[in-house]
Amino acid sequence: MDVLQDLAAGFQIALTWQALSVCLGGVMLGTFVGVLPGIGALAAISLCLPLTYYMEPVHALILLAGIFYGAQYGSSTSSILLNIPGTPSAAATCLDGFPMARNGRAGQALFIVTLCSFFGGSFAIVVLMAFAPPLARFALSFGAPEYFAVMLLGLIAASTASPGSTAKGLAMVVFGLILGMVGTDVTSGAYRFTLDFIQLTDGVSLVAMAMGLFGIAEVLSNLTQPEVKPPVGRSFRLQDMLPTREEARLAIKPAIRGSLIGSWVGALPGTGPAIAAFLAYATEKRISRTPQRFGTGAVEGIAAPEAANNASVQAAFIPTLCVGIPGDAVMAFMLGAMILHGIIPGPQFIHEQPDMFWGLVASFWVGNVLLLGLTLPLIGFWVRILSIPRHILYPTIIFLICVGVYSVNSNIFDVFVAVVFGVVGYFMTALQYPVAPVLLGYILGPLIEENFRRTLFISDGDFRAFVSSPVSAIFLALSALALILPPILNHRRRKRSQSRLQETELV
Amino acid sequence: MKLSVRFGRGTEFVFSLFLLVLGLAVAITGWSYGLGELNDIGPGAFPLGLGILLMGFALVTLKDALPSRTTHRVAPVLFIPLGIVVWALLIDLAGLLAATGALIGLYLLAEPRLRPLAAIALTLCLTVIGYLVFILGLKLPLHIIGG
Repeated sequence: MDVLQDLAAGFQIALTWQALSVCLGGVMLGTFVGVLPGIGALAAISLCLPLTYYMEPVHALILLAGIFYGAQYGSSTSSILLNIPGTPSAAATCLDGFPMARNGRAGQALFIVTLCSFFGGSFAIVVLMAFAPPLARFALSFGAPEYFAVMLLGLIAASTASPGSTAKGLAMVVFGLILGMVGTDVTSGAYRFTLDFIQLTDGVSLVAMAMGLFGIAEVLSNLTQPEVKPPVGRSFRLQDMLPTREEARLAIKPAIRGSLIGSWVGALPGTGPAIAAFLAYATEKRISRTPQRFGTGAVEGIAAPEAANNASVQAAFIPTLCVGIPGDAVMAFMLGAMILHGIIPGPQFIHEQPDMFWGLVASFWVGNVLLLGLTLPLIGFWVRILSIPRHILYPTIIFLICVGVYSVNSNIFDVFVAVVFGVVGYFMTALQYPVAPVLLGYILGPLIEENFRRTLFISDGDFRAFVSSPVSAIFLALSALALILPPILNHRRRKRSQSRLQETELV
Repeated sequence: MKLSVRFGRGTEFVFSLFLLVLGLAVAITGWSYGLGELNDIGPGAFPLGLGILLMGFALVTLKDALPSRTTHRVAPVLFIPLGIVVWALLIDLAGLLAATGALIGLYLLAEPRLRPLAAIALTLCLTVIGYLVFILGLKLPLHIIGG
């Protein structure tokens, strides 16, 4: 019953008016950016990070986390109504959500995804509450080799699991690791890659880099491409959105399976909500007796991925909070934000700062209930957001980026850094280099280097130290698999599609 | 400004080359920081390894270059970064109003759909928001007019 007592203490923090207001602000902002295609949760989180410097650390985390999971709720709205995912994690929802809307069932689709999102999110919070404390106790035994091996798996999996070329993903994670080297080397005190700029002796600013890569670059990418017309004159009444009994029955089991998949995938390194959603969709299609219905507006096709992506974002907090190792870019950013607030994430976090951990977990419950209450009654408002003209929205975002980056240190150097990353990030996006691994590499770079050096220092230069404990040996083996498997699978897939093409040509 | 460019193998090649040169520079600079011993790794060893890895992956991406081509407008990539740089140069010298005016003015060149009158209204709105949130709320050392 310890968990319930801890959770009750957490609610005492999460239900204060300050915590409630930042949670509400976070989930509202998250839903806002989630609804808008082209602007992701990371852009909003990095935009808000400077504001959190003026808050209590626990409130800062509640706000930033709220944006992250709020974005998952919002992202399905544009998937269903526009056939454009608000965030990549809602891409799977387009497959059956948009056909449902075309069949005149848009309201019902929005209702089902909101309930499934709530179910998935709640399921994963229970998983987090159950598994986080024992995992943290287990991670207390981790030494430098184990940390190195787990981080290595996270980095490799994040780059090879991202869509597109594996080499591009790996190049970007190495690029991020190099950026993490900029500044003062903690072991020797030497300045590295500072290019004689005094401002770089503390490293590249996290806020400037993230706002450049995820804010400026996204605005540039969207403005250089043709605009998508928003829907006009769409209004929903709550009583018209209620699904039929048959639709509700069809959604239940997929939502449970999606939650299980999302909770599992979310806790793994290098994955993320998009992979969880597609895996849940593929599973439903595979086990369905009528797979031909998928793609034409099947309820299972929206229930499973939405439960999965919401479960995944909550479960992603497990490795970040318990071991101090983020699984994806958003969690890497959360980790960076925690460090900036003087919090040391890792196995000690839950035991040394239980108020903060359980306050955050309680805020997840509060946030999910708020989202359930806000999404459906305000659906008309969220739909109207889609019609904000981009020539008003984007200059506003650029302005907020300028002031936001400037506000961190009240210097213009960081603004220049943000511009450089904005332009580089734009080219990366245009050439299909994944951007998220850069952030993960940047955050984990100094940590992985420190643990690598410490392992060799302790073992007196003996490389066998990396495989001497079962945990590090297993994670290193998994890292090797994560590196080798994707190119082999891609090669096989390419060969199969080539032979299929040849067969069709022969016919 | 209606200028646009096509992204294809050429652009991919240039970006891969950029990564290759960056990897080389990181490796050489890393080497100069000192590699240390196996039981006492120096500050240059990790960067040297990363530089070599980046060069390797950049070479593979040269081979992987995508044949697909997309067309992109050039104006936003020119004028929005320029607008941000001008904003940064003006913020301490001329204040929030002038810096934001210059930012939105340059944005006009990137996105012609924003009309001049709307741009003026937007500048005033953003300055007011900036004043309320950042100067009044967060006590940032900024001025609306003048440095």
